[in-house]
Amino acid sequence: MIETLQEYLQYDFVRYALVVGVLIALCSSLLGVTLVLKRYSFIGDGLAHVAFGAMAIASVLQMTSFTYLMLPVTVLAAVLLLRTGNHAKIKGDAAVAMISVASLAFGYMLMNILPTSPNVSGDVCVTLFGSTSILTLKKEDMILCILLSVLVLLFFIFFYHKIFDVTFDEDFAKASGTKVNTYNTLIAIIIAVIIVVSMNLVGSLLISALIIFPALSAMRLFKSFKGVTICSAVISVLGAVFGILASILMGTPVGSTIVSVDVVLFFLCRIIGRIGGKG
Amino acid sequence: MKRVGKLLILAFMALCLGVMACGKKEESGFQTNKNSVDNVLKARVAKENGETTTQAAETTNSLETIGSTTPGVDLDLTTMTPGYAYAQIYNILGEPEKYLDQVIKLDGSFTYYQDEKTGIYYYACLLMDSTACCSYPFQFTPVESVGYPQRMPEVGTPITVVGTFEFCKAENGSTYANLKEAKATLK
Repeated sequence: MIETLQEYLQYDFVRYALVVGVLIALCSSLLGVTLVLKRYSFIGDGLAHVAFGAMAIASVLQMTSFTYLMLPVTVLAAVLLLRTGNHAKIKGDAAVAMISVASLAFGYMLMNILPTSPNVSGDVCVTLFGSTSILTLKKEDMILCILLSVLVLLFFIFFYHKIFDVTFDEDFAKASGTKVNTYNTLIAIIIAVIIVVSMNLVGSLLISALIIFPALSAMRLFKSFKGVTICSAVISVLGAVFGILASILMGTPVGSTIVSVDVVLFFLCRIIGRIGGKG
Repeated sequence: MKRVGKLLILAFMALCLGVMACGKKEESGFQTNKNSVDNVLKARVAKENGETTTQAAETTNSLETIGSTTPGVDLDLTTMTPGYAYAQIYNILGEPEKYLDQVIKLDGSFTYYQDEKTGIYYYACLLMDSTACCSYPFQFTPVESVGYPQRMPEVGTPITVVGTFEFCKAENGSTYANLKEAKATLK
């Protein structure tokens, strides 16, 4: 087993996948705590479907890089969903569901009506489930992902207290002078960027797992916001590493393997939490 | 703290512009090849010099090792799981210059295409990813054509191919990968 892993780790693309996978898992878990507490657990799914719809349009338009369209469209959707906060006319789950299914249906229909490759089903499958996307990154992609992750971490560290305030009580935060709209917008933009990048790791359909499971697992063990956040990051990173290594050894798709490991870790944390009296 | 925050926001916006390249899938030879394998194979006609084969093919399950042995394998994809081998093929086609003249070994299933106008046969080893939703036919040129097409296996027969990687450009401008001086054996 060790020899097999050593053999695979000789390849650049495997090392890049590990590095980027860990960073994506880390960033998504940090924002995941906020999203879960704000009852926006499925926003990752919704935004990923929006990104899929944008990708379909970009592929039809034969753009050189789909991200040129995916990123701004996803950011716009995220801002619309999150910036309005508690005072939206169509709230939380309904808004996410509406945008999510409409984008997915529209994107898939567009790819079938105006196909740009002979294997539409294969392209859709890879985008939805992320089986090989993380394995086809170049060094430049990895470096940009590292920079992105560093900025997300810095944002989280510098604005930790503001994020805490906005997460738990927006009205109180507003009353105490916090620019809630600005921070909601910032969080929305960062989530959108993380979602677009995370699609390479686990695909559109499984992206919610990166956001939900680490946070829920951590909540089984810790009760404080800080404790949950740090634990969530650790669990998410462990899930990504073990998931990628397991996919190497078992020959399974990377995305679904990572999610499966996250599920196992969730149940482990639940058991540990119950034994410790906190679950 | 406010100024730091503003600087952070500005830096992040600037990085968002740069991160547009993150995870992008370049339109490399992979996509071109996947989309127009038939066209590329047909384009090989222009490169062949009077080499025509008009004999009808007799497919058979027997396939002997043909051609001279290769000295060593630089990249062995047969030790990798299908998903990772497929991803490595994708990376090879994205940066073909790194792999030129390297000896590559891969597993897949046999397939072929016959040009209707010239009768020339083109052979490929079809690789699939782990979910079998995506596949890529890696063209190979046997060292000697004695075994083909008279003794080529049935389509879909599992084979192992060892050959030297080359990246060719057809007359119509499309690019394709090929394993030249290839040795193919039944798995």
